[in-house]
This record gives sequence, structure tokens and C-alpha cells, in this order.
Amino acid sequence: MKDNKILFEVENLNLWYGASHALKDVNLKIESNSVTAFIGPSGCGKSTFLRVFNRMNDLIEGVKIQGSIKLNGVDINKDLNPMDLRKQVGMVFQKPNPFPMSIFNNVAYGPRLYKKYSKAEMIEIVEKALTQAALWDEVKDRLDRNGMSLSGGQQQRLCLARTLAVNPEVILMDEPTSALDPISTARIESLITTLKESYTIIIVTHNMQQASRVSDTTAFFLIDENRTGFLVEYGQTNEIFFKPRDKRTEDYISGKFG
Amino acid sequence: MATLRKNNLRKATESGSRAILLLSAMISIIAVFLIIVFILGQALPTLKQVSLKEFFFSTTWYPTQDPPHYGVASFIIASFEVTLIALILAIPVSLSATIYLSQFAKNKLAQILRTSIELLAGIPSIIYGLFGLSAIVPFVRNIFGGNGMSLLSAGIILAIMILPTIINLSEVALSNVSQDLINSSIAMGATKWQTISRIIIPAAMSGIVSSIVLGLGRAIGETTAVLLVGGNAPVFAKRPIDMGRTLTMNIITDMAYATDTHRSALFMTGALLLLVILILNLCVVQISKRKRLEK
Amino acid sequence: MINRNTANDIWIIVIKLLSFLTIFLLALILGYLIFKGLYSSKQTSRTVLNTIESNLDFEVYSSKNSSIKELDWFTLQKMGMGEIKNLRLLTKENVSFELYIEESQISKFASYLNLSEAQLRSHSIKLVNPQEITNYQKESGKILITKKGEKIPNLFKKVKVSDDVLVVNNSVIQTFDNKRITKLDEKQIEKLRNNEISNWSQLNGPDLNALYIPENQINEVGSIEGSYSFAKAISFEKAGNLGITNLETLKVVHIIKGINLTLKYIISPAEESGKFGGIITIIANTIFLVILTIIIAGPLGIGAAIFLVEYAKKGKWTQFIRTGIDLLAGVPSIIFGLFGLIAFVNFLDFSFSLISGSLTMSLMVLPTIIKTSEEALKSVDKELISGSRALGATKIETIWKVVLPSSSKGILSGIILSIGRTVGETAALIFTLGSSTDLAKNIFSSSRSLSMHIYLIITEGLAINDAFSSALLLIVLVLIINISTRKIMEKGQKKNERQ
Repeated sequence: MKDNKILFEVENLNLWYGASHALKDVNLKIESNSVTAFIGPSGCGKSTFLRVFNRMNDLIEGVKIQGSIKLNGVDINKDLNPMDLRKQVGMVFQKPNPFPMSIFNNVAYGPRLYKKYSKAEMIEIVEKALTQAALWDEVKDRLDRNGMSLSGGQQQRLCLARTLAVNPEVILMDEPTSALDPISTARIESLITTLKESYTIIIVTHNMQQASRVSDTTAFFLIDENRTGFLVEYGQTNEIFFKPRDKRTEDYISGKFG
Repeated sequence: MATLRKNNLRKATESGSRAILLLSAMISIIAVFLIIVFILGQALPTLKQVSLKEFFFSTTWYPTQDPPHYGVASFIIASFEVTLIALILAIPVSLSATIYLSQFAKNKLAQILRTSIELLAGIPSIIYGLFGLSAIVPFVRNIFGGNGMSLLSAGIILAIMILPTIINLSEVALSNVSQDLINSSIAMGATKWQTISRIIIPAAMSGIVSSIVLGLGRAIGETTAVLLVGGNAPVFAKRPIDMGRTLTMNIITDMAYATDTHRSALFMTGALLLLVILILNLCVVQISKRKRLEK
Repeated sequence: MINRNTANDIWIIVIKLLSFLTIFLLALILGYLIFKGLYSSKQTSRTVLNTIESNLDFEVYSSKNSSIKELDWFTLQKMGMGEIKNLRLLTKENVSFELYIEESQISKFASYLNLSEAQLRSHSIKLVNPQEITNYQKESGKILITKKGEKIPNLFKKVKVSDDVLVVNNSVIQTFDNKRITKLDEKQIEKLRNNEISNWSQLNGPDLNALYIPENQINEVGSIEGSYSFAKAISFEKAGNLGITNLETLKVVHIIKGINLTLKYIISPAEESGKFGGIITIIANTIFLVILTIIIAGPLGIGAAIFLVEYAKKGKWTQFIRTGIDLLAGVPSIIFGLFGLIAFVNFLDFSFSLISGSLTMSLMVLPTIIKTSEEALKSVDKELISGSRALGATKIETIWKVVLPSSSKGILSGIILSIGRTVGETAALIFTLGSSTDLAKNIFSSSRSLSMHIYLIITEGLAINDAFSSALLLIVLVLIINISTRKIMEKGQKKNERQ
């Protein structure tokens, strides 16, 4: 592993939806400026685990968490306000969902939550974010058009730009390309590789090839006989894919199930 | 042979039934048509005696004088004022209740709120009138002076009456806002209020507007409740704490003894009311049609 | 600049407060009306004060089920003089009045009332023998004068007689500074009795010294300004008869408390257009109205809903029909009233009657029935329908045998909602139903519904307590209707979930 600092430290994380034990004893560390992929069969809890990082699970009734997650040493559940956490940890969802407003206002939405900007400042922020999301050239002449008038791939990049505008440390991505065509998928994947120089990215994907293409580290989850998700193996991506230590990992990678 | 006859009978029953059902469905639209025709029919003779200009713009309503005057302008203004007061009071409360129900609606308290709204909707208007007369009128008298019976009292009672109307439709609009949109906003660190005010309410705006328009329609058309608390003075009400008479109050008060032109003038008032409400309702239909097309 | 978290907290508190205002309003309205409906407190003023000590040497009884609990001297005198033929002005019961006096008490009673025995006997009082009393039936309308200590059967109850008055010199009630006192409340009377008042201005009266005169010198009150005396009513009358002028009485504010809505009120028929009696006839008429309305609007509404769900094709025509239903739903009740007046009362010549009212109400509730029935029909399991068709049933047979039964709960709830609407409607019925308080004989009879009754009581200026008691009944009815609708919907939902 490169000599980067540890951004997230997850210790003995357990999560319950009401009485159902969804995640069991997860331990891992995420380095800054890396891309981590969570893979595993449907229902193994990888999306749930992703949502733990920005406390989006709090929105669900009856969720209970045990264990700790620290962001830069600060426990995000006990010592951090969820809204402040989400400023630092952004999220791109599976289905592109731009707000029903102009492209400009979509990107400006995030920053405007925190303070008032002058018009000039706002334009600068919007341009920077759209550029980082590789969308600026395509929309710079029609910033006042409704965000929902873009194509699927463009919408997803808009959602990415929206997240980037707030300047988070981490970007969480929940199956960001599963609703897109191959070309848009490829564009997003190359964006991820570029973005990791400035951000830390955690991506959930059911596409193993995608995981092996974009990520530096991979975490493989499975579901046990009690329908509880757990971490099977976590390590460098090329090790997971070519020299897995656990036989279950090897079986999954080689397509024996999943 | 018998089976063939039986089948023919069944087929005849089938088409006959279809015709009857079609007729039942048409009754509503036929009724609306008949209502417009009959009311206009009784209203138009007014124009033989009174010019449209005098009817709509004069504030002198003195049908028993010689010569009689039929100006409903004071009533139009009174109806407008009363409705405005009702909306100003009702909109903040309704929107708050709607937001609470759709965004905080997990606990027992929300259930109690929902039941309260349903019960408020079921209370007959005469009961509201009685309550207004015995409780609101003295209250207004004590705080604002004057008689107590006033446009203000009428507005207050109307506000309570239209709360359920606005809440019910707005709630549908708010709950139809896609959860994905809400999640995106929250994921960016927005506070609850920021998400509500910047994403949810704008997205539900057309539904909210429809509900307000419906509430407006209900307020303008209300008769018994305002009659008991409004004072019913057939003159121009200068201030909200003065007694006034709305279009609806005018109709119900004079109708019992009106004849000839006086009577047709009342029908003219009714026609005006009907026209305003039909237009409002058509607007609501338009708004919801446009919303559906957008999706 | 307020921090956004604080702003969030403030807004959320505002939202919660305003939301709960709604609950508060409901509680306020219901609580207020229930209270007023059950407990009436009427303020009147009367001449006679409450008696401190009773010094009658005979006893007064009234019929057990009469609502008379106390009598004042002046009323008793009128009874003795035969001026009271019917108790309705006293108790609102329409019963004829009979005065029974035990032979032995006649002279005492006469002198008490400042009447001669001859006067008493000449007006149709009934002489009574103590032994015969047990034969009397229970009906109201009787006042009985008997010997003190006599054992009286349970058919009668004792009545208190008040005969004290506050006699004052007429200078006390004169107009000064554009006002005058004509009555005092219990507290002020108390102060007067306790000699705490030295000047009438302390009681909001004129600036005169208050001088107490004992009863036996009551005639002096006529000549001394500011003087007063607590005396028996009979003394006051005697003084007047002697020609003493300038004697007046100060009235006392009298609060009559009692139960407003009673079972009796509910089950008694209305008499004299609602001035007296109860409301059972009105309740019955309301029920007739409801039944007639449902008979007319039910099939029409359900039929229209069936058409919309099963037969209508998506298109301009169907949209047209739906718009018609929405528009009909928005028409204000008074317009329905006007329409009913022209179309049913006049044009079809049904006059003010049950049928005119029902036809009008049917139009009003039609949209409600159509909308709820439509919902119910739509939620029927599609497999049930295709199963029936696959067996060879025609569309209408399927509807009749399969769809309607399974959606019956939803349809029923729509009907019940319409019942609630009908019971509560006023403006539309004023012009079409009529106003008679008698039991309707047929569908062409004029009648009034419960809501109309409340409206007419208020606008005709009759006792507002009656308005409150009828209103309480109406509210209870509406609440029951509301709760039943909810229960039926819940049961319907549970049934769907099980499937």
C-alpha cells in the first residue's frame, strides 16, 4: 500500500434493521486518495455499508449501529453532526436524479446550502465542478436549461458535478453506472481515475470488471446463513482478483456464483 | 334453441346495462349544464332593469326603495376580503400541518393530527356558524372592538373550515415528490428545513397551488357559517371589523321574500358566484392536467 | 446571520406549533359545543331574591317529573288567581296547569298570597283530600298545596318558594349620567345584606347614601331617598295597595343552570314550530331525507363509477365526464339550493318537500359517491375478474356477482360519507325542503332537517340553548358517521392485505 494517511477507520461495525442483523463485525481502513470497491452478490449489504459512511441509514426507521467509524480520527456517529459529515462525504446514486431546476442551479445547490455567494463566485464554482465532471464543454452554452433535459450519462455527470461543487473529501458512489449505456459508463470510469488525485472514492458495484478496472483496493462481502452480511476479504485489487486468499473470494471472482 | 334465446337475452342485458351506466355517468355533466342554464335563465331578466355596469360596480343595494338599486359591488368586495383573510390565516397553518404529516409523520401524534383534520372536515357549516357566533364573535369584540360580528370573524371561521381542503390536496402533492430527490438533497448535507424549502415545496408547488385554489373556492361559496358571524349589513364594509355581507349572504337573506327583478338580481348574484367557482375549478383541472403531462 | 442549524430548528418548531394548532382548534370547537350542549347557563333577572329562611306554614309540591324546582311569589300568586293555564312559559313543557289545594290550607294560602279565600275558590283550583292524593297519576302540570309535615307520595316533589324582594326608593334606580342600575348580582346583594354598602355608588348606582329600613317600616322607603329594605313580596304589594308611591324593586341576576340536551328533549316531538317540545320529529324527517337521498344517488353514483372503471375508454369523452364530476363537486351549496328551487320546487312543481330536498342533495353527494366507488372498484383483484370472464360470464354479470360484492366496503364508506354530508347540509335545503317541524306524511310533505332546525332557531331568535342541544346531537351523529367510515375502510384494507 502507498504511504497515504488513513481516512476512514471502521472497527467492529454491526448494523441492524430492526431485529434483522444486516452487517456483522466489519473491520477495514480506507486510505485517502484511493478508490475502494465494494463487491459481492445481491443482498450482501454492500450498499448498506456504503451508506454508513455518510449516515444515510439514519433516514431509515429502526436502524441500529454498533462499533465505530472514524473519519480523520473523529467518530462520525458520536462526535459529528450528520449534516456536517455529509458536507465532507458526498454521494452519487444509482439512478441519475438531477433536481428539477437549471443545470446551473443544480450545481449551485450544494454550496448555497452553506453560505451566500456572489454571482461571480458562484459562476467560478459551477464551472470548476462541471469541468471536473467532464461536462462543462457540453453544457457551457445552456446552463439555464433544465437539468432533466440532459441524456442519462450527462445527468449522472451532472449529479457528480453537484457533489463536487461542495468540495468533499470523499465521494461515495452507489452503482453509479448500472443505469447507463457502455459509453457513458466508460466516461464515468475514466473520471473516477482522474478524480482520485483530489478525492477519496468508495464505489459499490455489481460489475466485477468495473471493480478491477477502477479500484485500488477491493472489499468482498458475502451473506451468511442467517442472512447477515460480512466482510470476507479486503485488500489490493489485483491481489483480490488474481491471488485471493479466501476460497469464497476465488469462487465468486471466477463466476461460480453471484 | 333455449340456450340461443338465453344467450341473446344475456347479450341484450349487457348492452342495455352499458347504456344505463353511460347515462348514470352523464348525469353529472348534464346536471352542471342544467344548473348553469337554469340559474342564468333566472338571472338574465335582471338586465332588463339594471345595467351590467350598475350591477357590478355600484355599492348601493336597495331593492325595496323606489327606484330600486341593485349594486353588488360591496358584496363582491366583502366576499373577496373574507376569502383573503381566510387564506392568509389558513395557508401557513395548512402548509405546516402538511409538511409535518409528510415529513415527520412517523409517530402517534401524526395519527392524531390526521384524525383531527378528518373530523374538522366533517363538521357541518351550521355548527361552525354556531361556534363562530358564540365564541369567535365575542372574542373579536373584546380584542378589536366594534360589534364582533364582522368580516374578520367570518374570515377566521372560514380559515378553520378550509384547513382540511388545503391540507388534503397539498399532502398528496408533497408525498408525490420523489424520494430520490429528497435523498440527494440530504446527502449533500442540507438541513431538514433546507430540503423542505428548497426541494420539496418547489417540486410540489403545482399541487399546493391547486389546493389553495380549491380552498378559495370553498371559502367564496360558504353561506351559513358566514351568515351567522358576518353581521349581514348590506352596505360597504370599510374595515375588516365592520359588519359586511358577502355574495352568498345576500342570496340567502333576501331570497325568502324577493320577487321579480329583486329575485332575478339574486339569481344574477348566484350566476356570478357560479361563474367564479367554475373558472376556479377549471383552473385546478388544467393545473393537474399539465402536471400529468410533464411526467 | 443566523447559523443554518439554528434556522432549521426555529422553522421546525414553527411548523410543529402551527400543525398542533389544528388539533387545538378541533378540541376547542368540540369541547366548547359539547359543554354548551350539555350544560346550559341562562342569565335572567328576576324580582324575587333567594329566600334565606323559609317561613311558610304550608308546603308546596310539584309533579315529580316536572322541571319546576322553585317558584317565586309572583308566579304563585298568578297561579292562585287562575292566570296560568299552561306551564309552557315556565318550563317549556306544553302541559296544562292544575292547582290542587288541601281544604285545610286554603285560608293560609290565600292570606299568603294577599288574596281573599273567595278569590282563590272562584278560579278553578281543585280541592284535594289528603287520602286521595295517592290516586293521582304521574303527569306533570300539577302544583299541590298541603299541610306542613303531611306525608306526600313519591309522585310529587317539594318546591322551594322564594318571596323576598329588595325594595328601594325610586331615587335609586333613576337615570344619572346616562346610566342606571336595574339589577344586582348575588355578591352585591350579599354586601347589602351585610351592611357593607353605605352609598349606592359602590354598586355602580347614583351618589346617594344607602339607608337600611327594617321591613316593618317599609312604608318609609317611599319617602326617604336612597333607602332600601329587604322585605317579603307581600309587604311590598300591600304597601303599594296602600298607595305608597316611589317604591320600586331592584332585580337580581339569576342564573339558571341545568342540563341542556336531555333524553327527553330528543324523544319528544316538536311543537309550535320548534318553540316548544323536543326534536324527535325533526330527527325522523332527517332520517327520511337521508334514506330518500341514498335511494336516488346510490344507484346513480355507483352506476357512473362502474361505467368509468369498466367501460370507459381513455379519451376526450371520458375526460369530459370526469371534468363534469369535478365541477359538480365544486358547486357551492347555495347554488344547489337555488337550482333545486327552480328545478324541483317550481318547475317540476314538487313544492317544498322531502322529494325536492332529496333530489337536490342527491346532486350534491353524487360526486362523493362516484369518487369513492371508483376507488373501491379499481382495487378489486384483477384475477377475480378474469376468472369470472373465463368461465363465460358477461361483463355485466361479472360486475354484478363479483366486482360489486368485493368492493362493497369501499362503496359503503362513500355512502356513509354522503349521509354525513346530507345530515349536515343547510343552505341547499333551506330553499327546497320546507320548514315544517311536523312528521312528514309522504315524500311531498314539507319538513326540516336537524341542521336546518339549528339554523332556523338562531335566525328566528329563539332560545339559543336549543340550538346548542340540537347542535350537540348533530355533532355526535356526525362523529359516529365519521368513525364508522374509518372503521369500514380499515376493515376493507385489512381484507385486501390478507388477499
